[in-house]
Amino acid sequence: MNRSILLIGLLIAQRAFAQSDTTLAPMDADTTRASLLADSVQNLNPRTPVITITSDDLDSELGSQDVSGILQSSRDIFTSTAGFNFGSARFRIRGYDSENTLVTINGVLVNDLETGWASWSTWGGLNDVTRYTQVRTGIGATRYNFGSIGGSSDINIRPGALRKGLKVSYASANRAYNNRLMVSGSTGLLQNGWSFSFSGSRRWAEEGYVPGTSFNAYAYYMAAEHKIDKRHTVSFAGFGAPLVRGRQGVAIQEAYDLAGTNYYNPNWGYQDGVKRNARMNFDHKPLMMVSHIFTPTDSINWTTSLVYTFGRDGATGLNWFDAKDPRPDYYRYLPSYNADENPALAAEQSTAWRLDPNVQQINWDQLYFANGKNLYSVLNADGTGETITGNRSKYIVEEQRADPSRVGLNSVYSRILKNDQHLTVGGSFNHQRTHYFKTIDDLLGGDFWVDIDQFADRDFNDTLISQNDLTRPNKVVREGDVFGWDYDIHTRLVNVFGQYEKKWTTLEVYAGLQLAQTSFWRVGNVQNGRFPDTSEGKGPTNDFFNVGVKAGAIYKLTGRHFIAANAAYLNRPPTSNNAFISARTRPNTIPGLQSENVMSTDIGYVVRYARLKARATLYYTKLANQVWSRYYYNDEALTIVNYSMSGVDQINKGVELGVEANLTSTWQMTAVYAGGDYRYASRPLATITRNNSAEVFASNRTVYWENYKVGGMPQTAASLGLRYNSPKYWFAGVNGNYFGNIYLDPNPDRRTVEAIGNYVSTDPQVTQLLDQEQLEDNFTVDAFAGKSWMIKRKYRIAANVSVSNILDNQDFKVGGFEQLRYDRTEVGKFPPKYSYLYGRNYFAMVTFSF
Amino acid sequence: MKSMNSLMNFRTLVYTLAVTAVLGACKKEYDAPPVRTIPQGQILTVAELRALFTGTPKHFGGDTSIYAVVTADEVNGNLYKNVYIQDHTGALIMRLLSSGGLYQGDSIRIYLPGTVLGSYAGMLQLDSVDVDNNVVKQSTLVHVEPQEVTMSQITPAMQGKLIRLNNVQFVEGDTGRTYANAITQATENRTLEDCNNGTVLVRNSGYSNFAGLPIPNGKGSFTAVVGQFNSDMQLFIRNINEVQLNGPRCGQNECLPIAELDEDFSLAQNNQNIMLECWINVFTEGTRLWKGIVAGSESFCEARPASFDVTTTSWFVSAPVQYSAGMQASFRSAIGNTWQHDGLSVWVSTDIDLVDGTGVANAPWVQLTEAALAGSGSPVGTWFPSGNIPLSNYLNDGDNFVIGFKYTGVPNTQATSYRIDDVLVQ
Repeated sequence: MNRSILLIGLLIAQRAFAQSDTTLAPMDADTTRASLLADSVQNLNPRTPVITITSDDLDSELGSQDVSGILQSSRDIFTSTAGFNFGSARFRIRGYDSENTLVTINGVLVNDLETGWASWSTWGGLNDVTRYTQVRTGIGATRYNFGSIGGSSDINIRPGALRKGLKVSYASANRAYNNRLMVSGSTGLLQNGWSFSFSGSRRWAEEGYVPGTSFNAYAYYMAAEHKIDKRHTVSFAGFGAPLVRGRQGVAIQEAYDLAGTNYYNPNWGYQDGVKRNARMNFDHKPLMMVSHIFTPTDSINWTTSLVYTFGRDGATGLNWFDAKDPRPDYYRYLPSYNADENPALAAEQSTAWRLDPNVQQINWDQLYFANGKNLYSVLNADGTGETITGNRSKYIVEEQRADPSRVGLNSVYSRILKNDQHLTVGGSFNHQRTHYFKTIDDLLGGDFWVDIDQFADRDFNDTLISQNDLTRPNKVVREGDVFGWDYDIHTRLVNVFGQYEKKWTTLEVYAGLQLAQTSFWRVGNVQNGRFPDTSEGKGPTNDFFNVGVKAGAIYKLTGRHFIAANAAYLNRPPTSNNAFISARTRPNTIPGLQSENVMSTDIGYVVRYARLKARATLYYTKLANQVWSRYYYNDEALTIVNYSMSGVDQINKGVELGVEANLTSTWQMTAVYAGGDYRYASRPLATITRNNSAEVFASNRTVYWENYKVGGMPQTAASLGLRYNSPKYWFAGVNGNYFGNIYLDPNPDRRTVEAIGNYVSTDPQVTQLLDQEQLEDNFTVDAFAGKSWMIKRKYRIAANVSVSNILDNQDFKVGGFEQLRYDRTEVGKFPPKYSYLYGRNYFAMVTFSF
Repeated sequence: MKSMNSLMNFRTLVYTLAVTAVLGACKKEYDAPPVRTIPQGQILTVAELRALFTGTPKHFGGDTSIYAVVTADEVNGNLYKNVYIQDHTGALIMRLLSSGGLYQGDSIRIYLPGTVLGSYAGMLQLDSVDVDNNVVKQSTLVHVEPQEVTMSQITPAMQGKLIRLNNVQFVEGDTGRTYANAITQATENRTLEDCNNGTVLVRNSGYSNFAGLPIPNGKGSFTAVVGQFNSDMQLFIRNINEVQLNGPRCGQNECLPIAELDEDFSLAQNNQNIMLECWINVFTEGTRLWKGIVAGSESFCEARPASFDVTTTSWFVSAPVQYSAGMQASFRSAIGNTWQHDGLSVWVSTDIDLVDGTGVANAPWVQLTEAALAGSGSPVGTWFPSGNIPLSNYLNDGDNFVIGFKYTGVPNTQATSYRIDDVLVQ
């Protein structure tokens, strides 16, 4: 086997030390809007996954039976520390979003084609299976795909690749879930050429670390592989992870202070004495895959896989009509709203908010009560001319669905050539259709809901314009019925790539090329009253042809000192979830839609001695011409608007340092430093459009965004670790972690001439509008320990525990956002929302395997 | 044997897991909470409730309810956090803690504890009503007939009542304005009069869905609820369709279709809105009407955009005419300043009941395309004959019809003024 990528191997973790999970980072949940719709008021990306390599699943990896394997010399201390110790603080390697890292399963791309994100929750709970992941960070040579600037994670779920044996584990934790039970088994290669694997798990919590959150997930995996002969192997694998969880919300500091905890969660309330969460996630997207591996000679590997996935991706939330806002942290319910004008009322509100759980949280009983007696007659119901009389729900729980179905075909041919050369070529076809719609989850005691758009109803006062379905005006909907919007987004990606590698004694080089064609379009399934001519049917196709090139080299100064350099240029289409002005109502795309240009380069110095391993890397990446779109209530226009920007440039540069020193045969010390500088680097042009009509409020509005810091993650992180490995099969360690340069992502509209117009530089509003908030630097300590026993040389029992944030630092703001809604005269009226790092928390597991 | 044991262990584990999974799989279904009811207590009529007010706010504590029907709601935006209720004994305005949830025709029971009976600027009101907690709906779509009254009957005793006035019109100073300022959303007062100099204020919210509509200039019936502000009685429109002011104004003749039309505008007054008996002069966009011009011995009428309007669309509609076979129309037109655009068009409609701007804008008009009009080549101020336009293509024997002169212009960019004169239909 060609060893030409030896050094690349040094730079990356050969085994996924850390299993990732998708956290549902609440984005601009700017829902402060009186008495109208809740969830659709949020921006377009209500569920931005951020891959934090530290999720709860990850911790189970520590001390699992592969600990010694994980600690093999080839792993990169920077990457593993970043994943393991920095993840909970939302650190992202080089500041990259999820779309910059490709995730493949058996070679097939599984990043969502619409968002670019890889949704790790799809296979959450299958850690025993997905641990066989090759993680590559940054640009490099890879034989699975062209990769991206953030690297790639290639998950191998073929039974032949899994370790033979049976393994059962139980874990207890106080994080998103409290219990995990997992069993996995694999036959290894049987004499008849077959191998089989399975895995199943359950993860659950009545209530997780955050009040009102719940977690109930299963996972299953089954696979079979048949080695037909020396040349052909076929395999089948299928898995899924049904997940139901109650989500955590974010709030403004006033709410946290009143509630007395930084883990206040506005999403739940008591219903008949039981805690109920309004924002539930329902996720189950089974995936099936067949693969064929063809090895006609020892030097050729040709892998072809076909994958199909489908399922449900739903998120519930409250919606209401002609009634007061049921959310407890609606800004008018907080004392600050009345503090100036009516201090007596503010004091009363303050007391009620602090002491009465029905004020501090959702008052479900009251919602049922209001719904149960709101007699209403719908005239011309469903357009039939008939009148339906019953209790019209003022409040409902609705489920917003984004159900994907996807087929992917991938084929990669890899061949060793003479003279230490290696060639890889491949291609893929992917088609994804995501069905977006809403259903009524719960009428909360009412009889029906009327399917009209509340905002259009208010804005136009026209009984046709406000209809969501013109073929059934005044549509009366009940639980399970589809309403609101109903459309499909299709995305098709076809690409080919090639990579050439060559190795000399002191130099190794590679170069790669990718060509890709992407198309996406919208198909509307209903005709709505706002856009009767365009809302239904297939919209225009948006086509993009893109090219990527990459190259890199490793120069071996000596056998222990290396210099590695990589560079890549690629352009890529805007993701379709950013491209549409408002896909819920029409097929129009934002102005200035064009491909993004990405340029990235890095250079590193690597030292490898038996007792000292170190790496230092400088990187520079420019992401140019990005698009950005959100949707929120605009105080200037007094309605819901779509805010789209094009020409968003961003520069991410910095340094990565990682040192791992074996002080003695048992004591090991690690030091890791990530110093980043991630900034916006252009003045994008914004277009503001009314959500309900084609009216454009502003076009080509210049956003003065240059040099604002990219928010939402620590740009600086450092960790110092000490670990003891006993020869008697136990280990323990401690890490101190430091995080700094964390910013709130800037609200673009506050950085415009229009926002600061009419003010002079001494007016306090100017700095209030323009300044970017930097969150406090913070320090955490984590510790871990484990021990394993062998019984009868056959059975292995391992126990391990990890405790994070031992100092119980509950004031560490790890994220937040400036609300998009703002009042230019009173900036503090809609203050930022924050989320906090969990306080002290643990994960403990016992594993039995044989 | 060993492998057998392994297999057994394996199976046991799988079964254990499966059982655990199934046991835990029960979906959590939320019970509907036990139904809470609003007690009824003592029943008062609206009149009895009103009588409880003795000059200071009365906070209700004990068990008391009233039954009433909602007569005006917030749907058209003219009322906000206010609804009017009425029973057979009286009427009252209710002020809501939060907007929404009560609709015209709802028959409701109001449980009084928590509410406050008070007076605001002379208007008795039931304040602090929480729709969710104080109100129980009994039925919907209950019709309450407005009480027919005259101007002089609108007194404080009528507070809160749903009334209808017949044979009333907006004063001349208000016709040609809009109900309120829809741009700044400012609330404005208009004045309604009868033919005997009786007047009453009509108060219109800038947030109402009719704020931007032009005030009708006809006479007819007007349905509203009665409010009061200090010594002023005020009417509030609950539904714009209940403003039926489309008859001839006080002192105007009925306009019966005439056999032929010959209008030379000799009654025009220079630079005044031109008002001819049975002719209709309205705008559907902007604020400017057709005006008369007297130049030497000539009088005619002219339209142009008002400088502060975005777009002006104004109509000058002829008195109704009865069609007879062979009838032709003619007139002459001229531009009044350097040509910038073609702003004039001529139309015919058989809908002769056009009175206000709404009626004109929505009438079934057909354009008289044969009419020759002054245009880009015309010298300023020079009359251009339309030629004889046969009407047989548009009308049948016995049809009653009107001719409409429609003008559209935009200040500065499409500001050509257009003049017409000598309209002849015979």
